[in-house]
Amino acid sequence: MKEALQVRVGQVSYQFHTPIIINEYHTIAGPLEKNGALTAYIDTFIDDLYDGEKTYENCYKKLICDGISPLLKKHPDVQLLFTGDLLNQSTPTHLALTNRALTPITFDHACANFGLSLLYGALSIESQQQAAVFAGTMSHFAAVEKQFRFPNEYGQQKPPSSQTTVTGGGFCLLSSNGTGPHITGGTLGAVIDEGFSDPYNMGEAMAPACFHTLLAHFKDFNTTPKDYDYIITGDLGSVGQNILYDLLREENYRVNRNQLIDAGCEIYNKNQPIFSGGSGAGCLSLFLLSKGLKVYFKKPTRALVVATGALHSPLSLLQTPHIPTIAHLIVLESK
Amino acid sequence: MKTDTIKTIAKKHDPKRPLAKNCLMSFIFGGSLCALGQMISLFYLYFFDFSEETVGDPTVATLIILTMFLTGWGVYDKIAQVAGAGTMVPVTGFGNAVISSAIEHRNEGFVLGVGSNMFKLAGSVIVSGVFSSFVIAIIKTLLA
Repeated sequence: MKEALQVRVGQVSYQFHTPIIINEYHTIAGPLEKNGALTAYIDTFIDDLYDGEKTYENCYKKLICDGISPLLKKHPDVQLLFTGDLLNQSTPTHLALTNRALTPITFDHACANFGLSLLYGALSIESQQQAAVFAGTMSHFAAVEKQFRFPNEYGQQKPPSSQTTVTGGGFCLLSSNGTGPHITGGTLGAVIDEGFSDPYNMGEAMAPACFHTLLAHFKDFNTTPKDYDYIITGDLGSVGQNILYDLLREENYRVNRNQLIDAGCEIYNKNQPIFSGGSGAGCLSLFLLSKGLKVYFKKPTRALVVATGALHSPLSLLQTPHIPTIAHLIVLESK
Repeated sequence: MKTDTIKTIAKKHDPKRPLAKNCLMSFIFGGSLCALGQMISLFYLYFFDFSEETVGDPTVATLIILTMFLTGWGVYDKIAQVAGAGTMVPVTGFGNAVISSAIEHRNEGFVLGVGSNMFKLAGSVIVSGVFSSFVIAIIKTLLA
C-alpha cells in the first residue's frame, strides 16, 4: 500500500493529490437572469417565479429537481449530493430529493454553501470514500425574499447597497476521471464578525470573511495573488468587491482589478434593477458552471473560487444586531 | 487587520442614498397621492350625501381599494422603489403593508396563513397608535 500523501496543508487548507474533476454540469435560471449577461451560457430557464407551481417554495423545490435530474439520469449510481439552500432546514432540497436514491448532505452556510459543497465533495473523493459525487446549489428570489425580508409585494425603497437574490443555480458531477477543470486544493473559512449589521449591505459584511479566508490561503500555501489568474468571488456585489480590493491592497497584496471577478456582478446586465449585484446560494454556482467553465476555464487557468455567506437569520438580527459571515475557498485549475 | 481599518474602508465604499432625489420624489408622489385623495373626497362631497366630517371614511376606503389592485398586480412595489416615503407615509402605505402580507401568506391557508400574518408589518403601527392614544388620554384626564 502506498504511503498516504499529506492532504492537510498549514492551518486550515487542503491539497488534493487525486484528480478531482468538474466533469458535467447543468445550470438553470429564472426570468430576470434570462435577460441578463449569461443567457448564452445557461442551459435552461424558467419563465416566471412560479413555473406552474402554486407556491414560491414549491418552485424552489422544482428548480432543484430540474437542476439535478439531468445529471442523476446519466449517473444513477452516485450516492451523495453536497448542497444547501436558503430556507429553513433546506426543505426545498429535501423535498426535491424525496424518494430518490441520493443522499443530500446539506450545509447551512447560506451563500457560502457552494464553496463548502465543492470542498467536501473533493475531500470525499480524495479520501476514496466516493468515486463520484454531485455538488451544487440553487436559490429562488421570491422564496428567499419571503423568508429573510419583507413580503414580495411590499412597497419598500431598497438602498443602492442592497443586493438581489439570484433565481437559479447549478449542479455538477465531481469525479476522479474525465475532462474538465481540476479542484486541486481548498481552504476552509471561520466565522467572522466585524460588527456590521445592515442586512441591506451584505457586501461590506461578507468582504472581511472573504479577505480572512484569502489571507489564510496565501499563508498556508505560501502564495500571493500573483500566482492566480483570477480570484472569483461569490456574491460580494460591487460594494463588497471594492472593499475586498482595498483590504488586499492595505495588506500589501498586489492585486490587479481585472483579477477580481464577482459572480454577483457578472450575471446581470448593467441596466437591470439589481442594485449592487446578485447574491444567494445559487449565485456562484450559476456563474461558475456557465460562463465560468465555458469561458474562463476553457484556456489554461489557475483561479481561486471563494464563496462568501452571511449567517444571520431575521430572528437573530432582531435579537443581536450583528451579521456573522464565512467564506470557503477552492483552487480550480484547467490545463 | 484592525476592525477600525475595515470599518473605514467599508464606509468609503458604502454607496450613499440619493437623498435629494429621494426627497423630491417622495414630495411629488406623496403630494400627488394627497391631491388624488382630495379629489376623491370632493367627488363624494358633491355627488353623495357626505359632510366634511364623514367624507374621510369613503375616501380612505377608495384609496385602499386602489392600493389593493396595484399591490395585487405587482405594481405598487415598483412605484414605491421610486417614490419612497411618498407611497409609504399616506394611508396607501398602510394598506400595502397589510395586503402584501395577506397575498404572501395566502398559500399557508386562510386562518394560520392570512389570518396570523396579515398584520405582521402593520401590527406595530396599530400597537403604537393604540398605546400612544392611551397615554395621551391619561395625560388629558389628569390635566382636566
